Amino acid sequence: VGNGGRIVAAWRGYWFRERSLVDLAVARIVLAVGLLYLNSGGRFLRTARVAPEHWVAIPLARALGLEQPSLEQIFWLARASRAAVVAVLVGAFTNLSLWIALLLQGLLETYLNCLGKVTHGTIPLLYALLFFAISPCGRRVSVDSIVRRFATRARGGTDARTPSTSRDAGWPFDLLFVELAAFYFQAGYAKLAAAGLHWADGYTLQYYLIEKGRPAGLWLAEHLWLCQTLSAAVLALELGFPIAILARRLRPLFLLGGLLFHLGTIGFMSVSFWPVWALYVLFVPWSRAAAILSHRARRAVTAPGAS
Amino acid sequence: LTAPETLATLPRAMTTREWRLSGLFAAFLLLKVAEAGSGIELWPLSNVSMFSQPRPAEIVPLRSRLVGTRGSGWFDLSGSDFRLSRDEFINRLRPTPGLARRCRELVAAFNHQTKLPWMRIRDAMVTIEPIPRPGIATDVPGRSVACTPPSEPAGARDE
Repeated sequence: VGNGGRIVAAWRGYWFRERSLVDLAVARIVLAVGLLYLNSGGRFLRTARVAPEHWVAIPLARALGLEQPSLEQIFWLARASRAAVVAVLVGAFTNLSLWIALLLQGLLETYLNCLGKVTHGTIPLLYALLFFAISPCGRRVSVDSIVRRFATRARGGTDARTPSTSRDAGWPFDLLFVELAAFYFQAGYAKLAAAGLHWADGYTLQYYLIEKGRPAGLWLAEHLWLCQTLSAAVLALELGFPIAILARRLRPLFLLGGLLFHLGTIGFMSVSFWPVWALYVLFVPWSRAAAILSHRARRAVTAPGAS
Repeated sequence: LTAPETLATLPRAMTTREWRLSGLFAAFLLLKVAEAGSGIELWPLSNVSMFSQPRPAEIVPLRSRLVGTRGSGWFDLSGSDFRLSRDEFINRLRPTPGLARRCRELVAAFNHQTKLPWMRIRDAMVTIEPIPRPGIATDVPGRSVACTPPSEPAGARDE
């Protein structure tokens, strides 16, 4: 087989490996819960309530001809979005619901970005919705799967359950990791492009810490060597993230590093970005975790001396 | 296999669905590379460049505050007074060209939305305070930018 064949085989082996459909379904549920939590508390109502003078349409809003929404419009959009996400959660018309949730969330986020500050924090979340919308994430643990089983039985077919694994159950996670890795890498690359390695001289981080003015940040700003160390660590983490695209075993390590990074930005700078790191939960191998837990529980029950 | 034979067998190496999905994956990967390479900032396309600008030791951090008065005493105004987030508010107070205009717009919008006449702001200014870095003396003076709101014509609120 020539090089082309080997490349295609490697590509196929990377993206289309067997993975648990239950893991994909649980990740879908986690994604929906996160989205419901993010959008709770009338997050989008501000877009209608701010004075028209504060409306600064971003290019996408201009291209779509979006103007500042009325309170009623936002109310109904948010309601429709919530309904779509609940449908995603229970797995009813799962893929269609995911597409609707993606479009509505994209629209609402576009509105929110027209208030004079563009945020990057929800971009990976939108990509997650997209990846799940084209995946078979509704094949297990869903209303769709129950309906399908009943329909099969009604037609006189055998009650064959959906297989527990699929070659299409892994790539949504891989794509999401690529998005996260690109997100961090771009942040690191932008720093290098703007300042080179001088970005890690400690003074730049010190400036932003003082500007943010958090007590913990002001304490950190007094220790330049710590600012240098943390700046270098941030650059290494951000630029190193793509390594784990291919080296899957390193993913937990990089995600742990990412979590520590975000905890640091929360504590020192009041910069949360929680919709980004909340996506880490999607990578938990739920079926394997459940198998380990049930194995341990069984062993505890059968162990000598167990009451 | 010879080259033509290899090419002929390639389509059979994956299913049609896998080829289609592969096309999407490849497009997504190219998009991410293009975002980083082009330095684009066009939401939702982004090169995620927050905090990337270098701030060498000689650049003094500045903190801006918006203060206003209704006639007796000055008080701080915050983002919530304008239904803006902290970042959206601070962005408007950055000491860059156009600060006075942005500040006037903020205060004018506040007055326009305020139904009670005595709640309206008569005068406002942005104070820009240098915050010296630890161990580095600075001679950058603090300053303020006046942004008195335009007075509304009589009856304008009844329109």
